[in-house]
Amino acid sequence: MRVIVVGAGIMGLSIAYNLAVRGAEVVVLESKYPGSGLSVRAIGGVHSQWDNEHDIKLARRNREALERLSGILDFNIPFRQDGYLLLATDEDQLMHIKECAKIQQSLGIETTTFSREEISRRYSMLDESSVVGGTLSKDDGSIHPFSVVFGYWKGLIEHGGKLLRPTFVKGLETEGNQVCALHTDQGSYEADAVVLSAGVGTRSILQSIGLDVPTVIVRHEMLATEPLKFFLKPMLELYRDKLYVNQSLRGEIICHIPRKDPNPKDTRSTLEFLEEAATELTSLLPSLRAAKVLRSWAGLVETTPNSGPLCGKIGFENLWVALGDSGKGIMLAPVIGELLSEEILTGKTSDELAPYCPRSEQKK
Amino acid sequence: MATRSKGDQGGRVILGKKIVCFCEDLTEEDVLEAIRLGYDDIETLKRYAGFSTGPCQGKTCLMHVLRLLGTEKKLKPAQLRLTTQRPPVDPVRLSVLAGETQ
Repeated sequence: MRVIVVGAGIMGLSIAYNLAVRGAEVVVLESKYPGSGLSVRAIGGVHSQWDNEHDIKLARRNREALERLSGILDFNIPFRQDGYLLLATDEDQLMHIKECAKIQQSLGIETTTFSREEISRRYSMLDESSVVGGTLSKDDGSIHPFSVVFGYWKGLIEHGGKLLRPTFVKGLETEGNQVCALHTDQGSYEADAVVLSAGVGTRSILQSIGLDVPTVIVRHEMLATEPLKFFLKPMLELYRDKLYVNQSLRGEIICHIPRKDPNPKDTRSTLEFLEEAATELTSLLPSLRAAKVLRSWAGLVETTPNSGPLCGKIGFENLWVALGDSGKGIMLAPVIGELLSEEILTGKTSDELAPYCPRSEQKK
Repeated sequence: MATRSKGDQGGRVILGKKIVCFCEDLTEEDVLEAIRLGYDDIETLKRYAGFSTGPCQGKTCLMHVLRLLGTEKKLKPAQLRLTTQRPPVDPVRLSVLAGETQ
């Protein structure tokens, strides 16, 4: 079976690698360079603090896959399980994350709830005055995103797969209920199955054959400071999706914030972000006042109405999408790669992926 | 692999210690090895090898690496491209960005 995967981000490469391991002939088409969308811009947070059984189970299976990934790919992928601390800034949020923690606990995730006083006692680096409490999942943490991209890329090549770059997909050719060929700026390719995992580029490819997905693009901006002595663990998130902070293994503090500009199209950096991030960071972690910012950057995140992934067959008998992960590619790519590759090769949708299929999205 | 290059007009060459990136202690040999492993465009090479990500943000290393990449891949200068340059130009304290007066 010849499969073409469009997009060599974490998601596309994981699917391609898993297909190649299972004996498929795989070609990945990448318009820029591997990881060039969000994968090389991500902070790398990995956690299972979700509000429903499907997401939590998928996240747990993914974490277990990440724990094994270095050994399987024979590539150094630093996965730090220092915990993931979700901080609530008002009582409503706290009540909600406590309820979520109960669901997580019922599924065997070790999530602990903390009051403000407990946070103050346990995490002396935090100024807890703006925080009312939080939940910690101790086996979660962060992973180095580039090395996951490079590891899958290496694994793909070792299993006979190909990565063609730069190759820009201009459109798909359909015949009846099948996609029969892809047209690119480097020529046309025939395929038995096609997977679209091109991040924000996926939607326009779908629209070219009359399909659509209900996604919205949000621009996220990030910064990295100079490397500092290691002091910050676990990884922090201000509930929900407000501010993420992590210290990389090299010691840099990395922080990112979703921006509110309507209909973003580019990945420019702004001074407004630097000012906002600096204000938030120094009030949450006062010892960072003297830390210097080395770099800022931005990425475009495709978000779905329920903030979950969309992956499965769409519109045609041999067309799959894996997208709209709302920035959770790294949290889900290994497990989605395993499950979707099996679905493509066997034709059977797994129970784990069924809720994320584009057709059943409304039912979830 | 580490041999005296054409540009060396005498003088002492410490083989295997030609540093191209002082922030990350990367040598010429490290960069060439990465290119030979297939990390052979400037963006991928940067993320694999780590140059241009330290305090200098590429001001010291990027031209050295482009020279190596161009030589190794037999590319003309016009075919090479820079990595995206991002603010700030020089490192800035968070307290300054946060508007603190002290």
